Amino acid sequence: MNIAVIDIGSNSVRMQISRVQDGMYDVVEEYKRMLRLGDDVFLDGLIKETTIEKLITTLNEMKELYLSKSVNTVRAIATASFREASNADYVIDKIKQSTGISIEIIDGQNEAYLGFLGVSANFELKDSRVLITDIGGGSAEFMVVDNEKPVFSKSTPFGCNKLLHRYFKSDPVKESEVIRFKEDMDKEISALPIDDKIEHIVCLGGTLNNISYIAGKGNSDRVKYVDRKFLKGFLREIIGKNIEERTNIKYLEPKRADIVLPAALLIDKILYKAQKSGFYTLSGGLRTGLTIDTINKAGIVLDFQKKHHSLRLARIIQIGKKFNFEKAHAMQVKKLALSIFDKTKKLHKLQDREKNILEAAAILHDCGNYISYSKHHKHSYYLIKNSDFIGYSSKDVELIANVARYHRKSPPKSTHQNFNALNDEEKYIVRALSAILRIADAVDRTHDARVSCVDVEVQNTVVFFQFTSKKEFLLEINAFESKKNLFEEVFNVKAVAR
Amino acid sequence: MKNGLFAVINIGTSAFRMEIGSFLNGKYKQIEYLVKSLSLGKDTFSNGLISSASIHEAYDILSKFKEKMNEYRIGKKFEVIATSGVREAKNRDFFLDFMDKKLGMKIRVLTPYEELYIRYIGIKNEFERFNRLEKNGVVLVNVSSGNVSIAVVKGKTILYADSLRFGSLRLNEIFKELDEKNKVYAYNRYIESMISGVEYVISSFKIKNVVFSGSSINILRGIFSPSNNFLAQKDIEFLFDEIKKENVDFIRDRFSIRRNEAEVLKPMVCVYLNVLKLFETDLFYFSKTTFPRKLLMYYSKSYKQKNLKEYLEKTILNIGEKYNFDKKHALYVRDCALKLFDMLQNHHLLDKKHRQLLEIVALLHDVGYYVNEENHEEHSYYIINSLHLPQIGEKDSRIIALIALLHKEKEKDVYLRLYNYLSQEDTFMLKKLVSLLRIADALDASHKQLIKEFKIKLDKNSIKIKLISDNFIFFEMVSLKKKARLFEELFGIKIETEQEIE
Repeated sequence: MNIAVIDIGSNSVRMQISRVQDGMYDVVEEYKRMLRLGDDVFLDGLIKETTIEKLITTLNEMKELYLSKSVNTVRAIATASFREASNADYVIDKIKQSTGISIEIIDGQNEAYLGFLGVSANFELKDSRVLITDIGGGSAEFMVVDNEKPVFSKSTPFGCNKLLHRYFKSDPVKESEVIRFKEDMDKEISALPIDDKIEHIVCLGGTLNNISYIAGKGNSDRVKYVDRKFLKGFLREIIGKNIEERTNIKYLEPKRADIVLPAALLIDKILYKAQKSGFYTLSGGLRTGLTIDTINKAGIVLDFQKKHHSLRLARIIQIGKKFNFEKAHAMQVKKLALSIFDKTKKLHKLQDREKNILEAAAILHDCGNYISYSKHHKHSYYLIKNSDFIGYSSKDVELIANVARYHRKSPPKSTHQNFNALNDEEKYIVRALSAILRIADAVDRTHDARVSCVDVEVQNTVVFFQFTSKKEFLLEINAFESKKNLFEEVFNVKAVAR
Repeated sequence: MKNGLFAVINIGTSAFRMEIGSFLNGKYKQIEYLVKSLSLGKDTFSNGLISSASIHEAYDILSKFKEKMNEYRIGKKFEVIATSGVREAKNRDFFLDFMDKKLGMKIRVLTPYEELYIRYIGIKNEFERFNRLEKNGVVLVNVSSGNVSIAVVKGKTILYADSLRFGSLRLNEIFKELDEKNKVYAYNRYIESMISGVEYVISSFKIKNVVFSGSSINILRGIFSPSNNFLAQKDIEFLFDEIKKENVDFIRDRFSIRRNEAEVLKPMVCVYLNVLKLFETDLFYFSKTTFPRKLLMYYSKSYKQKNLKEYLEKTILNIGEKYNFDKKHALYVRDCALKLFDMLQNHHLLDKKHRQLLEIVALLHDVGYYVNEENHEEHSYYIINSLHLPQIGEKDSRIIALIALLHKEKEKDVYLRLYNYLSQEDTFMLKKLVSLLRIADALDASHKQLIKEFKIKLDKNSIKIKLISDNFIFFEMVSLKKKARLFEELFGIKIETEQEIE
């Protein structure tokens, strides 16, 4: 099933087309136009004819695109700008007539819920209290989620486009305007349950995503983290500049040069209240939520929404399935690798982050076979590096790709570009984890899980590996002997099979 | 091939062979067949290099072959082919350059896939039964000194092609220090570990018809003298039992074969048994003609090659489907690209071979979407570069990959470093094909095949493209403007578009 969702926001109009298959979905196409409907609505109270024309052209382009992708379900929603436009009914009618697309206006509560769905697909929400804010053009949604359950939700009129028109009339802005804005926001925010019990803050919306894009110097990861220190410096920089000057800031979208100020001030206030030193941003959160909601409404529950499902792991398996991995072997190698990791902590001294990297690399180490068996370790590297993971930073993904690459053939060498680009600490992680992965892979040489478990005992400089199996495992022992060198070298020990 | 003489030199891993033959009214007759032993493979598989002594010896052999060809006044009607012994040597460029400079001999180095393809075409031509086998699916296994190449063909589609590094001479070289009694164990472990990686994919095809080829077949034929063109697995097992504990001298005397053949017999038999086990079959077919003969027939264009276009297309489409491509778009872009190619012949002046490259890349240009939507052209490049298309040589594969990479226009030529090693002529050809593909791709920018037909009118200063469609089209027009730029720059001619609505 292919579905298209269209989100008509106050700043931009966006479409996302996804393919739903086997309890998972993949984005196949994204499309965006900046129309800034909010400029009309928040100034004049209605959407102007010229803007309607532009909107119709955009929707027709989108229609052409989704029809070409054999989409069977289309859902278009509009948010604050339509909620507040006095001629919304007329616009909806006109659009229906000229494009055939029906637009559904969703209220703030629903918008917040969609945002929450989007966040739930990208963050592990178990056992933590998270504030989700969606600062749009016309409204700002706030939701508090406690252990995966929404416990508070409110839609406020603090969209950045709206705030801009209300508070900032001068260019460059005056100090007095900033002060008045801060004072008002103090009052408004104190009505929300934002306090230091909040563990993480996740922000949706294009403007805050643009800020994290600037902070990340053009890093286009879907999930990013912004330090409050950066935000402070950034605020200082933009307050001193007029809008024209701001457009020269690298990575700042020129069409957001004005509204970026109220958005940055607002999030800074929220960080202050929650006593947090930074926030996460998620791009495409509302659309992701809308996609998931549309899939759910078609009667499909996605894998990650089922209980006891780790989102991070589900995504790895999804990637494996896409590349037709040999699941039984992948899961067996994962099991063995993690068990060796746990039992050799004294040696490698690595933590949970590295364990998660090993887990992904173990599951995906052979995925390059999809391209071809010869050089498949290199293909695994390429495919992993270019896949979208959940719960891993782009640096983590680079390490996963490296560890998988070194599951066979040559050990890491400084003449390899992919390895040489890492710093010393990362090089150690790759060497240590691929040493473990090589042994785990060797132990499942026959690909039939004949060795059910590995016990490891570290005695000074000798590490004993004891295999448990109901069948003979000569081939495995043999493979172990030929692949143990890296382990011995990295940890400066002797590895002995028992 | 027209009446006359043709010669082929095959630089194999253990010997140099030359065949000269004459064609008269469609009949072939062998005139001369020379074999000179020289094991480049021993050098390459153990040290990675062809030794200086071997290079000089090779030079002596080749110059004698050349004299022979001069005697027969072969002229330019010959082809010199090298396989893994040269291909995998680190100093292969030196070897090739040396023979070129000193003998004026351009040596063509085949990839394992081209080698397999030529054998495949040969078998198809000489082996009646093959076409019937092919319908139900057949596996071609080429057991050579260096590699075991496997291709799975069903109907008219090559489903799979890969080359694994456990050829018999290679195994012999890797384990030559081992005690005779431990060798069989080592060979089997080594082969099993290679096979375990591909078993998962190969067993999914469920194909049991196996055809073997390679120098190994000649040795087996010498031992068994079979009257038909198949052998049973049992035969190979008996052979295995007979030789598994014996040394090379015994084997040589027992079967009266050459020493270098005796050396590789043990690993070779292990390879056969493991491959037969993989396909769960108790008999296998082989073809009786030698590789030099197949090369001669292939390069003198004496093999019937009908339907091969269809084979190539089916194989390419199968790859596209594996990467979940938009088939309608791919076919449409292919048709547009070829039409442009034909109509603009007087501008680009490229030939039939280039037309085929354009056709392949038009079908595959978007496969990278499967890896990730972002930078899909880079992923297309990566995938195409890693394809083992048996019908296409290494260099052409790379060119196709580059065209796919460049199909999406970029502000600056950010990928220049990837192809600045190409000759000026090749770079120009590459750009011409890219410019055609871009226009073809733009003609279906919406992936909806909205343009029902297009017509081209050539003027002195411009090329007018008239686009005929049901409704006003938008995407295609915008896209064309951008994507025709390279063409305009290359050929110094403006492209003008107009719409006609039916």
